[in-house]
Amino acid sequence: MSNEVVVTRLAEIIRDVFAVPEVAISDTTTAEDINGWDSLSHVMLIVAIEKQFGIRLRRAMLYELSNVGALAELIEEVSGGRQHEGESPEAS
Amino acid sequence: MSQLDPLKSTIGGFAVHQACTRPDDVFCIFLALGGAVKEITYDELLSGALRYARTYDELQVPSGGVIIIILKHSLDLYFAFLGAILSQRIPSILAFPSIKQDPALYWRDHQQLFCRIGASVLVTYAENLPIISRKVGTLDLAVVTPEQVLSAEPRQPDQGCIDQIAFLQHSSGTTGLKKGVALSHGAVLRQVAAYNEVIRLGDGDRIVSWLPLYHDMGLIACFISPLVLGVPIVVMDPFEWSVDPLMLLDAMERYRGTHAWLPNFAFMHLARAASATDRRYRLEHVRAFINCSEPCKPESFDEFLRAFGEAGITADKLQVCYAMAETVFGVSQTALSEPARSVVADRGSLADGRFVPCPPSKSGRRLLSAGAPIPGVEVRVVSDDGRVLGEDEVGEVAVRGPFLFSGYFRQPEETAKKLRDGWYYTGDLGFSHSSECYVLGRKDDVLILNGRNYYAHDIEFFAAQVAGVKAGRVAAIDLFNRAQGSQEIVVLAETLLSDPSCCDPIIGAVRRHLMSALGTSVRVVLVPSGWIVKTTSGKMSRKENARKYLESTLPGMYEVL
Repeated sequence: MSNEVVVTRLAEIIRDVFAVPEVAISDTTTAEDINGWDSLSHVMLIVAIEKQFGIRLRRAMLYELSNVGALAELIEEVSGGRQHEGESPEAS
Repeated sequence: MSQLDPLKSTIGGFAVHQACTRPDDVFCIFLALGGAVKEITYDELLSGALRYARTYDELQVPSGGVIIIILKHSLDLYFAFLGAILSQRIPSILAFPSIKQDPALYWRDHQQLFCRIGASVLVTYAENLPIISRKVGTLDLAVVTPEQVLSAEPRQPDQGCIDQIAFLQHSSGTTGLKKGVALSHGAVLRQVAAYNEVIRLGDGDRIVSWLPLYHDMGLIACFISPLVLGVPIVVMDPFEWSVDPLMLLDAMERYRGTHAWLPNFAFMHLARAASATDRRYRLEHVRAFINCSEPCKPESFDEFLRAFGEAGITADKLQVCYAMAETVFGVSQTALSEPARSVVADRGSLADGRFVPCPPSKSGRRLLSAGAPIPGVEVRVVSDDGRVLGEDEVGEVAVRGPFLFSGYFRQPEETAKKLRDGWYYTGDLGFSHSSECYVLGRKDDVLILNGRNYYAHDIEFFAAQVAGVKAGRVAAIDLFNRAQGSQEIVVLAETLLSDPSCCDPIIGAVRRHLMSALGTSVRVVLVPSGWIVKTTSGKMSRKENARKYLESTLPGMYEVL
């Protein structure tokens, strides 16, 4: 998966989780750009990402990620690593 | 309960007593990031505290000097606080800035507070010092870092006197104007004893908490009261908990936790997090989850029961407490032996200032009882013109009892506004029904989000600083978002821009600015010029603006009074 594809899929998930269908999202979008995205609702986003991408993310570090691009990179890294090494998803 | 008489001793006296009578018992299990577990005994708690006390001595901090503690959630937070108490200084814990807050703004605002209250010492990390000196200049107080304390020898404890101020709990609001709720040893210990007549903590109990210590619920219910009563605690960092909420339940299961105090939003946060995992919990041993510090919603209890019924959580384990710093902690508490009571109110009657049960044919508003006043507390409901109201009549809640605060520290005028003839006027709206308290919300413009209070005018002030927002044309309101299951602060802001496609960046800019300035997340709704309702005298009517906003949202999205 290229980063662009991940960002596009991620943007759809964000629009869906925070109910903001019209909002423009790019890799520089941060939590503050999106109404409803805060440290608490972030958990719901992570859950949705895990479901959609079939991966497991370490939760504790995620809210510190600076923007959508960084989040996409992490998703890419985790799902890429899994395909290469055939490991089972890492539990948080 | 320890043999010491809480009505005659001091907090320091209890800390010493516990360390002498059960030195090797574990008091606190601290769950750190990455799964590390640190345990400290009562003896280690005391010696850790007395190292801080020695360090304060070395800096020649005067007796009664104020010690401000700004640390991440850590054992040092407990040591630094108790060390001040055990050397007759007055500690106050303030919130550590989140990574999203602007550090320059944070320290500049706090510098004002330090000056106003004449603080003697700031306890914080060495890494904060460069930014403080760069952005604020020289602080007119001594700084203590946790590293510096490591080499200090514990000194002798000084237990202090019962009528002395033990510590300050700072309220929310603009940092420079925060009010320091001054609490005496006597008030704190009388509260602990009275509250425990209802809660009955004892042998075999263990409290699990993610709550911050700058808030009464974390400080009193999950630190001071357990210390006095000899009940162990299991604690974790609030930031870490917010991103991984189930760590609270993991801890309750693993350490057989029996009690947890939570603001209403946390019930929803836990239920939602659980719905996304296959993890099954065994929580039959839990005695109570106590909902406190935000308006409590029966819907949140329903959700929590759905999520954790299988784990052994039943309705009688979900309880409600009404608490505030000015009474040290609890005012009223539901009985732990039965489910919290609730009523269904006719919405129209509530708006008219009276509770009337809703006829079965109509849909009413469900309200949870906050229980009966705890022993020694008198609660009354008063009208705007000072009349004492009867059962079921809605008005401002006033309280009186043997554990009221000594006043707002160095703010006699603020104290006189709220403390009159021995009664504390809470600013909360509520009514009394069948001898139990029902709390509806705020009388003034305090907005409650995630258990913390914010002033509407602070939020409006910062929102109006953002380019594109019309100055003086902003209204901040708080509403219960039913879809999200939590309270939400909505900022209604008039914008100068006519093209809506250009507006998204303004929403982000306002949210970013409020996060940076106040550490709070809000929903920003941009409205066209002229939308905001003001009275003829130009005063903002938040109620009217809330009503207008609700008309424009989907029916049922928000809970309406």
